[in-house]
Amino acid sequence: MTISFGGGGFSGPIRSKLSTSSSGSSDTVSVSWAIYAVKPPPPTPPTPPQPKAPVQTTALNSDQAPDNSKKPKVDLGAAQKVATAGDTVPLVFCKRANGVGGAWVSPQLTKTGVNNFVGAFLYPVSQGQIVSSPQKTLAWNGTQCVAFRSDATNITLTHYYSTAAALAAAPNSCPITSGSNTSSGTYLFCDFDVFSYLEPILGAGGGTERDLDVGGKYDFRNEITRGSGDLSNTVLKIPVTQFSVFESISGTNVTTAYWAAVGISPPPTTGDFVFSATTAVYNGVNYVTGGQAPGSIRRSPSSGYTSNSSPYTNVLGGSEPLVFVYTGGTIDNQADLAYRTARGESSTATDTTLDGIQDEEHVSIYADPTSPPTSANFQSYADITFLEIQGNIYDNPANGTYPTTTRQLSIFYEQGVSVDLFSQAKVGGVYQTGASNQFVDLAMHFFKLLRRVDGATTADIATPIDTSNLITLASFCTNNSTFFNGVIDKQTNAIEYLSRSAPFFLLRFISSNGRYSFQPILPITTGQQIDTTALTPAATFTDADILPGSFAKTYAEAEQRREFIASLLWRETNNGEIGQATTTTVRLSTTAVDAPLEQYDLSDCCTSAAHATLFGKYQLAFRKHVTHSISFAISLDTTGLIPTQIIKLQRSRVSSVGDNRTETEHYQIEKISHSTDGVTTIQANHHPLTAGNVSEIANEVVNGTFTVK
Amino acid sequence: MTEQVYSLAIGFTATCADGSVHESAHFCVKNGEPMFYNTAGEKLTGNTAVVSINNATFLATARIYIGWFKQYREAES
Repeated sequence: MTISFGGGGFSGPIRSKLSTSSSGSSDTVSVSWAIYAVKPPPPTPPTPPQPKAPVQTTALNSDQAPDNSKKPKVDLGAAQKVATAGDTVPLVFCKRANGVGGAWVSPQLTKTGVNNFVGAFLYPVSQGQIVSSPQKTLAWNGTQCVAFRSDATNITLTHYYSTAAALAAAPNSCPITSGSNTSSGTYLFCDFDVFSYLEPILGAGGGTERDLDVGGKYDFRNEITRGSGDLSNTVLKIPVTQFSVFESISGTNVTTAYWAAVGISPPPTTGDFVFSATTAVYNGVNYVTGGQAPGSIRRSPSSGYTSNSSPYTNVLGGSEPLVFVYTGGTIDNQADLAYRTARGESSTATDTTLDGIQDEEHVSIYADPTSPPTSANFQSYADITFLEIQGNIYDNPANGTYPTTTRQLSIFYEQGVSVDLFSQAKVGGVYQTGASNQFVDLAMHFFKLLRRVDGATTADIATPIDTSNLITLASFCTNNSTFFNGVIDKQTNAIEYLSRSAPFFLLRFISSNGRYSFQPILPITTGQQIDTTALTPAATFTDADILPGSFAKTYAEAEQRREFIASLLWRETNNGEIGQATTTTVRLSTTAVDAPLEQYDLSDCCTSAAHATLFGKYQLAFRKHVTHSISFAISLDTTGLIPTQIIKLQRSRVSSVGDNRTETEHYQIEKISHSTDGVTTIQANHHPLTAGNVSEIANEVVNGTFTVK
Repeated sequence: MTEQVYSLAIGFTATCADGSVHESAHFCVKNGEPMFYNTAGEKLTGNTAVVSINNATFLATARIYIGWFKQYREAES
């Protein structure tokens, strides 16, 4: 079979026809080929270098994780979230008014403690001082209200707070004053190295106890009898042969060394550990005379803490903490038998419902943790409201168990942190303080946290945000019920947050004359209502004002102006149940029910359907009426125009056929900039007015026909 | 002031440094002091400090008992 090619070299597709035949047969195969010129493969691009991993992102990633949000989650029955280093302490900003508002917080757990087997739990709930006191009726463990737990009467909720100034003056003054009696021990304390915890129960099935490195520290211990019924003659008995000792790190069995240290070598084959027993002396001999009552507690030492030498050595002289293992025992419900026999009396059996004993350990780096030395520094606790819950909020136990887990706490506050109230008039020359639901107060509080303003000392002229219209805008928000009630639980850039959130309150956060400023996004009346009367533009520009060649008009894309349904996500604040995010949909009545949905997330701040609906109406009205935007340049403007102001443009259109006309349109300034060469550039959005000079957008929001669900 | 007594071990045979043997001795912490006592209520300390015990009933967990016992040994050494 041969293939012939025409011409020389490859210059394009070459086709060749092959035919084969076999003698004596009619088999003929025709095949057409197309051979294309083959280019050498492109060089393999070099492997790009591995991008550098950004530094300091572990905490940021943790902060952004949905699981670490301090707002109530969908799974209300989840286990309590424990805080990790670097987590953000949230800011609870809210004020309930007329049955609307307040905020639900699901704080993380930072510390637990126990004293006399009563648990204590510490949660940082907010930066700043929360005004409301914590209420059991407004606190939930998972899906159970704290007020209705079986042990509710013994559960207490307490706030702790200390200002930065107070801690700066006395750094060793821990704001968490939970328990102050050295004899009874403290529940919770600031210092990381002052803590308490429960050992597992030691019962008839055996158990384990662990040594703790308390070298150079102080400690004491409580022991409780766990069980029920009449245990007056019932004890737990574990033979010495059911006992072993191990080094916790190497795992070496040091049981023989243990008994030798006790004074018994070789290890004993007789004798018992007897727990939860009472003793007495008869004829000079000590006897076990009965059992301890269920719930009874023994303290060792009887008061204060025991000092331990440093460095730590275990009781066998080694450096590893030891583990003591009991592998089984029995419940003896005639513990006093030997005693009664010695006395010629009979022994009475009692109940066998003894579960065992449990130890509670207390460790401190101070001899008296309620009075730390002046070297202690607890300033990191400044300006944070801590919630402590004392009492049994553990999961309801299965029969015979003593759970140590809790469900996620959710707590409702009607009034959040106390802030400077720039939304109200000064009293005595200073701004009052208190909880607030005004967005303008939140903005000023951000700058206070940034140390840029203080309501008591900063002159209005020096504030980073122009305060001259804050009271007016607060009234505007009140009239429209556009309040801020929410929890800010992530690191955020203040300017970005305020810029992004302001429209939710029909406001705009702008920069003007070297300061930030809030302006209403719609024209408002002197009564701080949306203005649906005739408007007077702030300025009028004609062709004579516009620098030649600077005018540009851009129409919105059709896709951006299509009909849509606004889906608003907001958060319920029914104080009888944990607030969850919910949605309200708004559409123009002329919009089809199956129009595309566009979602707006107001769940960080909005707690009413009315507020969400108002914002939805504005978005729909804007999309309906705004068709284009413009930009143009003029000679330096000295009239003080700012973004959000309405301006009028009158431009002449001259045609060759004499069909001249004047086009008049109104616009809302979006951006205005001044250059050093004496030019002011204005960017503005179309803001049509009716024939009566009423804002079309404002009129649509107030008087338009919408369908809300 | 009420005496605080915390029994740690009872009913054992204690052998002392001087070779004496005490039956039914007991080990307790009295007002913070760990000490062995014989049936006469006498402290077993000094020449009669306990060096070994046998067939005891231990009333505290092993970790707690050995801690006090170590403290006793250190005081007697």
